[in-house]
Amino acid sequence: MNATLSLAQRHAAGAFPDERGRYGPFGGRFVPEILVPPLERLTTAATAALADDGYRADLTRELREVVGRPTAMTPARRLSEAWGAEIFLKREDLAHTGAHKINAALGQALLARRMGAARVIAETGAGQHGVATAAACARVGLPCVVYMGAKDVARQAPNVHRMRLLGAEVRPVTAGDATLRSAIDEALRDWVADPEGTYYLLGSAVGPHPYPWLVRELQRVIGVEARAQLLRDHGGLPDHAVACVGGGSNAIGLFHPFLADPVALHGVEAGGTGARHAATVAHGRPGVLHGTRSLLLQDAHGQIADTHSVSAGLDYPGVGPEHALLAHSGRATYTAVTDTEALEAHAELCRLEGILAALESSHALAGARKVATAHPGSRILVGLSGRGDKDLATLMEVACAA
Amino acid sequence: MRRVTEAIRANPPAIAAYVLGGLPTPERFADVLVRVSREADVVEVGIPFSDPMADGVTLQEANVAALGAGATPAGILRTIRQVRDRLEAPVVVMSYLNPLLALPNLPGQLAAAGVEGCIVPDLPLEDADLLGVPLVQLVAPNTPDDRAARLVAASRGFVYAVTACGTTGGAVGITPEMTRHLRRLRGPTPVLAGFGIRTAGQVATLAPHCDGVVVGSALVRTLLDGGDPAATLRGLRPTRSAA
Ligand SMILES: Cc1ncc(COP(=O)(O)O)c(C=O)c1O
Repeated sequence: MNATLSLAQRHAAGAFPDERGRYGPFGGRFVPEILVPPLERLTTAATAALADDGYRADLTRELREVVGRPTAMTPARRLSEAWGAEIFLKREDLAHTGAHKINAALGQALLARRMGAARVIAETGAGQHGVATAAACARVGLPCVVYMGAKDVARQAPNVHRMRLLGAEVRPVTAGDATLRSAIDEALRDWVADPEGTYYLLGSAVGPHPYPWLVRELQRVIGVEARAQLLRDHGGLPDHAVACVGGGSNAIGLFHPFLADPVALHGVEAGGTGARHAATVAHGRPGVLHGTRSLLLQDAHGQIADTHSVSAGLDYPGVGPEHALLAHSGRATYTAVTDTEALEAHAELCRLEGILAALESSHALAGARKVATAHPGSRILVGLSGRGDKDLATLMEVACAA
Repeated sequence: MRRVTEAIRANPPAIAAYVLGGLPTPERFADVLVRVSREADVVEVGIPFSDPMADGVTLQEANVAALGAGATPAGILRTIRQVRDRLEAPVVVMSYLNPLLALPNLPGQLAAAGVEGCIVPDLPLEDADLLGVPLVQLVAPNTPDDRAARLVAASRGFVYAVTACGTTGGAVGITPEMTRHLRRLRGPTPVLAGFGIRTAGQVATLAPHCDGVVVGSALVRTLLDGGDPAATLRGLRPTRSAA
């Protein structure tokens, strides 16, 4: 690779991950030895599958016939007027099961079947990935166990019922902080007990190599479609692309196809109450969690910090290693919006466009609103990662408290 | 790590005792360390981590308890340094990568405490030089033979043979596959079997196939229950009739 190219240029040219699963100083595979053979096997199988016309054709057909892809691109006319910029919404909320999570779940479920797995396990935060995995496993005919923090089980009750109706076994996790982070710990413990027969269907662009890469490849469809839709139907590339970042799967899926374009990329993290938050890029330091080196919220002793966000799906103390690289190289910028700002943007979208977004996606909207203020008249693509039906209980609580 | 290897060779089947730093309390930990060092051939001092992904329920509970009681990596190393002249067995530190990365000048701090090296389950062979300290390598039952050979060659002090797929504290059965796993690791570096060892009978059964055992969850259980870890260790030494 030409040494005079910047990190961002090398990134756009496809240099990451490298053969060791690194994204510059981030990424890699920091796992107990028991997990090395299954991760090797997964890397080999995923590389072969993604290069295989048969797998690609199956996946494309399933995405069309089951997920309902391509998802719509909605010019948000009244929101654009209110914000003084041209806002386009990539509607992952219209995908089957209500969020972008189904893209990676279905892709991996097909891969699990191809690899001859006997069962699938998954972690979930908001429950969207759990629901998507349950649906995908039902579709391909594999039994499925979903680990979910006990705190999230309580605040995302409808999704717990949905997973059970779709045939998954939901196991609440009371260890640790009882949110997404503990659910990943517990799923990894399950996997080390049966590394040969179990497929761990990870839901975000985090974890040891190959997961951040595999999930990105399966979520890129968001950005690929969005780019084509804007070019074909809406007058060209956007000036900005904005997505919320929990672990970072919808954001990397939206961003990656635009890396080589003159499009500013904005990741929006959960700023919580200000004092208590999950804004990993803004406040994190490099460290190793869940098998990958990335930015982490941690104390001075390397203990992982407890996080807070009104949205369960963003309540995670780490971030995908590719986002750590994008922040490091300056190719993307990361900001945080508070619970309150996200809720305000949520209400605005409901009233002006008749769309009930997920609380996670509402962070992207709140971030986009700030971009609009800073760049009046610009063209802003927003990744609307999911719908908010799962958040009705939280929204009703907020409405009553107000 | 020479002292570790020698201590194991001197007393087969050797027992490496795992205690979690800061248990039962940061104050009483020094005393536990000294007493355990009199019964064990090697002492592994765990440094607690908030996300112990390779650990089963007992060690998860212990990590929460130790952190809740205010244990810190630096504080634990300070305790080891303070009692180092009273310890009767060599010490290695066991922890996850993140708390070790957060310690400034880890090699210097370990040397000052008289610690021989580290066991870091989430630090892979490919990154073995990351911390700049000698490492005991862990080898799993599902590790392919060629990789196992490289791990054995890279391992310092002893080779840690993981005896079960699963987290710490799980059950261990002595199967033909297990004895084959242990035998393939034999070489100039002694092999200790660990994960789920809790009875003298298990120690006796494993003894012909390795140089000793690591006892972790069973000892930590004793500490959590307010028992005497030295007594637990004595109970694990195979009597002649059991062997
Ligand atoms: C609708 C929605 N958006 C975003 C996220 C955050 O995940 P990621 O950052 O991986 O896209 C979630 C996670 O549950 C979600 O449900």
